[in-house]
Amino acid sequence: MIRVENVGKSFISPRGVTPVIAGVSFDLETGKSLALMGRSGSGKTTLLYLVGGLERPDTGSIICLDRPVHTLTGRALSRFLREHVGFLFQFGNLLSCLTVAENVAFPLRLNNVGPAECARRVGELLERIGLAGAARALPRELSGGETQRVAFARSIAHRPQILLADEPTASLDSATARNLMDLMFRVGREEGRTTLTATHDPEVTALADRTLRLEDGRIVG
Amino acid sequence: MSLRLWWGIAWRFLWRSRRSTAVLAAMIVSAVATLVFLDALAVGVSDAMIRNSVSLVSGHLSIENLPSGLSPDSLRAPGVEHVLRRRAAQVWLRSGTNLAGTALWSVDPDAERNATALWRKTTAGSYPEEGTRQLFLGEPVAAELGIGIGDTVTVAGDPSQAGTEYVLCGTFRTGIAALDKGLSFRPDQGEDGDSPWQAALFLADGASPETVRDALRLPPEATARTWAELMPDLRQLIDLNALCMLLVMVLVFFIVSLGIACAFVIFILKNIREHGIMKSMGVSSPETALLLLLEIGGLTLAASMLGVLLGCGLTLAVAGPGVDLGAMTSHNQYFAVSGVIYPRLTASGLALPPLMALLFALLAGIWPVCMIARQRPAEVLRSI
Repeated sequence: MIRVENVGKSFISPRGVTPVIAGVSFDLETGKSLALMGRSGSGKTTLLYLVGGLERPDTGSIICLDRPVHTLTGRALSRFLREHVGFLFQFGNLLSCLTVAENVAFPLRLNNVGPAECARRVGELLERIGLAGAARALPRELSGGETQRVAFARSIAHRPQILLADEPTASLDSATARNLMDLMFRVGREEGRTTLTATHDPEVTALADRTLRLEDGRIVG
Repeated sequence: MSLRLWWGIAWRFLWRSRRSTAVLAAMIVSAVATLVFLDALAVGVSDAMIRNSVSLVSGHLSIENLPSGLSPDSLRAPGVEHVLRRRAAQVWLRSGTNLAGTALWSVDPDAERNATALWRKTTAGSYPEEGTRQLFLGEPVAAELGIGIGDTVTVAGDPSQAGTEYVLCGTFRTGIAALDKGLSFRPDQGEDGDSPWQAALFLADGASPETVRDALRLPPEATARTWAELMPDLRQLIDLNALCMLLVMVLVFFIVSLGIACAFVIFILKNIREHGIMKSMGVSSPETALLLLLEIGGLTLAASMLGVLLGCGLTLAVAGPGVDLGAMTSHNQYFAVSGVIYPRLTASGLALPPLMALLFALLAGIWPVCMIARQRPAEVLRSI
């Protein structure tokens, strides 16, 4: 369960205080998916970061899996992120110095999963995304679509209860985007994962259980 | 996550950023290798000064007031290569109306030629032969007496005594006034009877005079002094040399560390994206700092070891033939015999440069490590 209550966030710059999120509230039940729609600059990414604890709200509260994410810091936040959250970024954001298999294994290693179980899970995920033959490739050797698939595999490798996806299809062609979204929502449902996706792709909203529209940091529908 | 796994990731970061790693490593390798070589050279200079000073006449250990019945063989402790027996007497040298006072040493000419280098400083004639009544004088003394090779000199304990006649067989000049004006030599023919004798002990390379002295069982009336006690000015010069070398080492690494710090900042900032991504996956700030310190420490250690090997290779290559600094040392009393320097590696010379490299690299890494560790992942991710 994710509960966001009256959350506000502003950024301070030399030009002054810029409100990005203003009084946003919503609930998302465990295992359900939510698409956050909105134009660039509407606050989708900031809201995702707030839910994931990467940003702290100025006002309001965020409760994820019964934890007050808005107050988590240091070790508690690291533990929450590594055990319960998976991030899928717009451009994959793979670790460039690690191979495909090492990237997928990274969250497992962070959670002290043994080498045998780690290898088994990595093999299973690479098989599932159709990149079993690219295990030893470096990120720079992959296409955009392959990079996003590996990033997706990495984001769910440790079976997180929450997946936060920030415009995961924005850099992909429509066919590749559709395949990735099918995979993401199908696996999410299979594994009972709560998924929050920021997007401006209408096809994504069709796959999600719910859609919220953001405009200038406020929910408008 | 265990240290082994973080080390594995640090290694991958270093190995897969080969160009930056190579540039950073090259800076550390060259600094460490240079300092290992410079330290070996400084040790070689100190060695040369000691070798020149002790080999001329005094030896590493000088023992006075030994009873005449004591055999030189009883002083052959481990590490002793030569024991020279000498008897000293204060005498007057007379030639016509000219008089000169000197300390006259009765020596075994063959043994002296084997162990000391004074005979190499002969300027005219030759070193005395065993069983002859010959004198070997410093050039200033011969000049004061107004004599040349083959001339007769009278040796007497008192200017008013008749004395014994000797023939001047050779003169020497070391450039050290105390030796050239104050010391003369003759073959020992028992002229000094049962008077106490003095020993000059020449030690093998690496043998400590203090250790040898402690190992000897000397009669209570005998006094033994090491070269450092006999020549405190040389001891101070060597200590000063070592201090200067340490200062050079600190200064070199201070300057190099500024370069290393800049390189580390570039290296770490180049990977700022990776650290932001890792933090969003739950890597904590202490773990980020650990990863960076492992990268810095691992790279510095490996590069330092390579630098030590390179420095050793350079030193060994030069140590064989030696570095002839004769043109710069010919008028220096501490290089009276030879100006050739043989660089020598020491444990401290091998250990200090890599340790200092590690220390300075870690100091240089503090700022970028703190910066990355404190950076919030959202800031990094937004900047990608």
